[in-house]
Amino acid sequence: MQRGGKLAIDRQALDKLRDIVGGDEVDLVELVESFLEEGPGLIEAITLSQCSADLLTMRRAAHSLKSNARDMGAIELSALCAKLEARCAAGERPGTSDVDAANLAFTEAVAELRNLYPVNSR
Amino acid sequence: MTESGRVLIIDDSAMIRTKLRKAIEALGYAAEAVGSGAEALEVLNGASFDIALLDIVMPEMDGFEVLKALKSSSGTRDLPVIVISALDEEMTSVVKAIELGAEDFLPKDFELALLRARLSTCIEKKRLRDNEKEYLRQVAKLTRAATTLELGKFNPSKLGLQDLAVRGDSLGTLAKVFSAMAQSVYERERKLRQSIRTFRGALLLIACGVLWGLVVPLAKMASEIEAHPVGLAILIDSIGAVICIGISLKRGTLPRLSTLGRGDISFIVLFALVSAVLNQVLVYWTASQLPAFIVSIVIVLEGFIVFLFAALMRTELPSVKRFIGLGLGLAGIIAILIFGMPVNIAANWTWVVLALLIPVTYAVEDLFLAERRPSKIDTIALFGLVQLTSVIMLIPIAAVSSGFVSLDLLAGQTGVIVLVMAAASNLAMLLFMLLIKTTGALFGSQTAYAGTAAGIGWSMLLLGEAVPTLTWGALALVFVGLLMVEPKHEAEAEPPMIDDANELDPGSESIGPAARQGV
Repeated sequence: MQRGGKLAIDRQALDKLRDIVGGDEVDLVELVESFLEEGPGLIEAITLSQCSADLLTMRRAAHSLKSNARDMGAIELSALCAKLEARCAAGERPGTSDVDAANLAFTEAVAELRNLYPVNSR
Repeated sequence: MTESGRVLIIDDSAMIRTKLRKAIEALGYAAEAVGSGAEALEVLNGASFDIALLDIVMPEMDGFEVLKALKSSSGTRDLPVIVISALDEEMTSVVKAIELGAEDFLPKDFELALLRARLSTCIEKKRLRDNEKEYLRQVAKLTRAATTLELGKFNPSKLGLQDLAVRGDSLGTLAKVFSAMAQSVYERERKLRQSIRTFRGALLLIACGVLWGLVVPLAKMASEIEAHPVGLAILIDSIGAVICIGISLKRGTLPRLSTLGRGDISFIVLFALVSAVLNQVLVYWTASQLPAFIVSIVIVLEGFIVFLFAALMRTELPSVKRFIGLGLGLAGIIAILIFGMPVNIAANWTWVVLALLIPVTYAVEDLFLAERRPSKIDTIALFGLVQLTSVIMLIPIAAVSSGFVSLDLLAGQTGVIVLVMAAASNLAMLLFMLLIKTTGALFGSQTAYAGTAAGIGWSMLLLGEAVPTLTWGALALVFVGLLMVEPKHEAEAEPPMIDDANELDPGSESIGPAARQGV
């Protein structure tokens, strides 16, 4: 899926990830599945903790999603999560717009990953 | 490429766990992954790993807390930990983790080459440290062995240096040389102790025999003044009982009656029955009827009987050498009985047969002492109690057989004889008990040989009995037999093994106390 002509998933990042786990496509697919399984919980935690102003939970969830997204090549999602994490670390409650942006980036990344790995992903 | 090493991954993200596990396995290591600090501590408690990869940001127990727990436990203190961090913004966390004891850090978006380098370096370092620890542990073991050696009694085979001696390096050589030297010193000391025991045993044996040998001719002299055997035994045992119990009371070694067990009491009663009622009366009685030197000679059979009993009960090892020694003794006695009897003795064969029971009672005493003696009761106290019991048993017999020795008799020569007999037989019995304790039943039975030799000597000296020439040749045989029976090789009390369980921390300087306690 594209937004403004930009890919949500960096293919080179996926190539790097495949190399790291031994070069096997099956292993990469397993990691993508893992991301798709774990990701919704993390983005949900971010959204809920924004409502309840639970900065610690949001920081932790943003931290995890940031790393996972980077591995998947979801550059924008990773950058948005890094911003959320930094805001929380500084003791500032991120605004709803920041969280919405992260949600949108997550949806796009997931859609693109599902597009790339249609057979195995749910 | 295959590397050896087990890696534990600790990360709350399932995706990161999978990524790290696959990457590590691709490098050839074995990997296991857990999702929380608590799980990690549990896994590490039961299995051994070469390295741990630890995420810092985790819910509940974070990476810092896990590190603290790992470093505070002796079982996991030396496990190298690499913390995983997003390098860009977490430098302070990395510094803190390293201050808490982490070995290194790995950025979350690591390159494969970096992961490989980190793992192989850390695992190699751990290997070196493990080797060093093992080396220090073995040095400590060797030092402890040296301390044990210096402190005296030890058995080098129990020092536990075998696993050290197989090392190919200089420590192994040192352990080998040390073990060999310790073994030779130990053997030398053991032989010396054995010689001392033999020598002490021989001295006791001769002293015991000389005293015992005196009893038979004295009993003969007493019988000539018509002192009844039972009455004589009562007098002698009373003197022994009074003196021994007196000494024990003074030394405070006399056991209270309430502390005596059933085993102790049955020993005292049975020993009194055999040694006083049977043996003593038989000796005094046969001495009144036969030449004293013949009674003395018959007593020598004790050695043979003890040997037979001990071999049957397997309490002593009946070696061929010992068997030949005792056989020679027996051959000598038979020769004496056949060729050495005075002509008029033929009529007294019934008495000779009765006299043959004497060595049997001695043999029973001997083995009874060796096997059943209550070890916690002092020798003098025990003997005093035995003599007291003897007197109590002998009194009714004397009453029935009107065997009391009249007190008028004691004023004269009989009094002197009774006193000397009491001194000789009581002292001989005490020495005999000591001898059996030192050397065992079989060697102790050789008292009979010394007793026989002394008995013949005393008989000639005190009674003017003539001993036929052939008897002397036969006696020589008997003494060769004596030389062939050594005291038993007692197993020495061994120091406990120096085992790994009670070793101190190898890094610790002190190695003394454990070794000292062990001796």
